[in-house]
Amino acid sequence: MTYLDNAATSYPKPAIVQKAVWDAMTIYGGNPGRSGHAMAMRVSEKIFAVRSSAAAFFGTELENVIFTQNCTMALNMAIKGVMRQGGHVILSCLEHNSVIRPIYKLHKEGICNYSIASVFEDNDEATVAAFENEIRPDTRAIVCTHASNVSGAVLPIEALGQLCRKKGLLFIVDAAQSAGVLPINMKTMNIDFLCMPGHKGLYGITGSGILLINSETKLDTLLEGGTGSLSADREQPDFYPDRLEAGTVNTPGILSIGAGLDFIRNMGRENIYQREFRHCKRLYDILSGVQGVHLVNRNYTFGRNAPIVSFAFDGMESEELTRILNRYGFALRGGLHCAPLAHEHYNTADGGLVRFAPSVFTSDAQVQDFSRKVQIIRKKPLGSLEL
Amino acid sequence: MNAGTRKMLILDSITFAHKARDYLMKKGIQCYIERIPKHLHINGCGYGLRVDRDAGIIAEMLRDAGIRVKNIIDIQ
Repeated sequence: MTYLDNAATSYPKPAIVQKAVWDAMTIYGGNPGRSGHAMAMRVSEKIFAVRSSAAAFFGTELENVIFTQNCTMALNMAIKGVMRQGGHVILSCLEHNSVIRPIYKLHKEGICNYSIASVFEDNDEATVAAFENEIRPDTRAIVCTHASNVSGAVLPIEALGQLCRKKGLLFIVDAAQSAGVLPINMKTMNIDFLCMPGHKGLYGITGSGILLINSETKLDTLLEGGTGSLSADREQPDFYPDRLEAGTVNTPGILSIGAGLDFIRNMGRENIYQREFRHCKRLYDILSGVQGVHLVNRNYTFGRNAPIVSFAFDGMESEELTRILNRYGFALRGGLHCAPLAHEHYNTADGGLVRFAPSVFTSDAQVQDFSRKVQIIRKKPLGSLEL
Repeated sequence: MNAGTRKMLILDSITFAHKARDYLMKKGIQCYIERIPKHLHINGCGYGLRVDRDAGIIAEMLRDAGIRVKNIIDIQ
């Protein structure tokens, strides 16, 4: 099986990540931040080291690194933590359901209002202007993806961060497809809340994520409970990370993120992106010349696209094509990718798209083989492809 | 310095205890993260930083570095 579904979760995981998870179960037992025995203290030390590592990697203070179950949880914490007080929020037309659904729920409950700003993929100024045009007196925040999980299109995060600073808005960024791949610095990009999975570009295991904070705004809590601190108080602590980390943390997940960050540092984030981009560009160029293949991106440009190429065959549902590709030994995802807004934008809501998402472990030969097989399948009469 | 008297700096959480420990170690100051003794619990359980000397000065250093020290207690 050739795994090309790394935008859903990365596979395989680096050997040092596998070892970190094994170590979590064999060496780093105990509950971090709860007990005082040597084992608990050892694991607390490891969790702290990962917190420090993530803070340094993304440009914030270590106590503002909150470990979560996934990116969706981080986004819910940031969005609801900010918007539960009411007001208006702006999101992009490329957002995942993990952004639109929490906002829509708050909207349905009469708590907040929202607007959707258009994204112009070849014109950053127009995109920023589209956001600016949606700002109202009661606008509190902009929430947007760094890179679309459908097309890989990169949004002008730095310029949007500047807009938020200028207008006094909070800036929440979904880095599900960019963390570990594209450059991100919360301070220089004026990002207040940065949300990411641990299990995609950071190479950690599923069930892990991070919310990073670079803001004086105290987020309202989604969960309350034990933190190992101020235990006699009925109120949740007001300091991070304890305020947002109620309950025992996911030690194997956190240690896997730490090892994943070490892996990225060793490989070089830019080297990883260059390699993955090269695979995507190659496929993009090949499929651009194949009749009957519809590519969602008009261009595929270094720095402007995360390592994702999505396409469809004319006259075939994307889910059907992924079933056929699976039979040929390729693991890819089809359908809407939990991002119906993006499909409305790309006019692909009917059949969805097949998403090609390589990782640093994908080889040139695998990409060549995949592109060849796609062309073979395309040439076959549609009726002959039934499973 | 009071010879023979050990002090514990009480911090917000284990995360801040680690942060303070790393900061002080970089300055060459020995300190140890420990569970706060039960009879000294303030507002429930937690962790503190044991120092063997100059607790007041060290607490000031930490405050200057943006690390809140909630209290200084004698632990013997």
